[in-house]
Amino acid sequence: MRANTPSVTVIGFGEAGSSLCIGWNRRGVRSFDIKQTNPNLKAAKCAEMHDQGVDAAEDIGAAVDGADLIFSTVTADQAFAAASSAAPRLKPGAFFFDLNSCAPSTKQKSAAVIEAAGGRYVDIAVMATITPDYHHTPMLICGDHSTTALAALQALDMAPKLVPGPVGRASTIKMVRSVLVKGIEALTAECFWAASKAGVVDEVAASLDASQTDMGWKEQAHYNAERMTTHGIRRAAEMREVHKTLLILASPRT
Amino acid sequence: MTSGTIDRQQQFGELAISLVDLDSFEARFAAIEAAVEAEKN
Repeated sequence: MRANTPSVTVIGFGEAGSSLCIGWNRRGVRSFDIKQTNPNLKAAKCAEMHDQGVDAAEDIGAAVDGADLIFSTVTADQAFAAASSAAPRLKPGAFFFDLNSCAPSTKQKSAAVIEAAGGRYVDIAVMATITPDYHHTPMLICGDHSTTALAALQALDMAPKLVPGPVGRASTIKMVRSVLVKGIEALTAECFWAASKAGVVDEVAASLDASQTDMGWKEQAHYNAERMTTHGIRRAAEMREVHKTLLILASPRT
Repeated sequence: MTSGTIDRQQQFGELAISLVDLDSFEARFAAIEAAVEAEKN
């Protein structure tokens, strides 16, 4: 490898981490995944890395040791632990790209640990499912180092959008967006699970299809706000009845 | 459906404000914010 080619490490080799590696299609990427600490899962995880031309590191320290660009793609609840474990072995000035879907406060905590260790922390929010577009998935970046980080990411054929503001700004956008994205996902499952239990799937689907509008989300929120302030009390009462219905559908049949 | 979502519906209803004459998104949400703040005080 040429001396001026940055070394890349991916912490966490799940869907996001492996998708980045597939997209980059680059030799010499190192990775460590927490599953390697489980003797029953280690071989399969290392084989997965090997199949993608990724070098499996023995531990997180070995993974980040000497790396220029570190991508953290663990799970939200492990993001701070990953940053804390990586920090002692960071190369001075190494970029630590935190792609995890965390609250802004968690990202700020991780940033403090990375910066204290001499690294450069960058908040990245992944704004769509990563599998179709891999490293080209829409992303937002922010923080003190975002301008120089942008150049490093562009060198990896990535094209994140820079969001002005401190660490946490990008993740705030992601978190607030997720109120709807993850909320609707869960509500859809809840609605159609109940419809299925009640044997009314086609009727519910047809009624929902007929109610679909072409409004954008801001326009929809504008409309909904008026409906809620005018009718919120009785709508909340209906929602409590919905909840009762769901509980009855969920209870075992006697 | 979470209790938090139901509570938000109830809360907006209890604000006892009308947004019908407010034409913009910004005006409607500013009115909601003002009413929520007024309830706190």
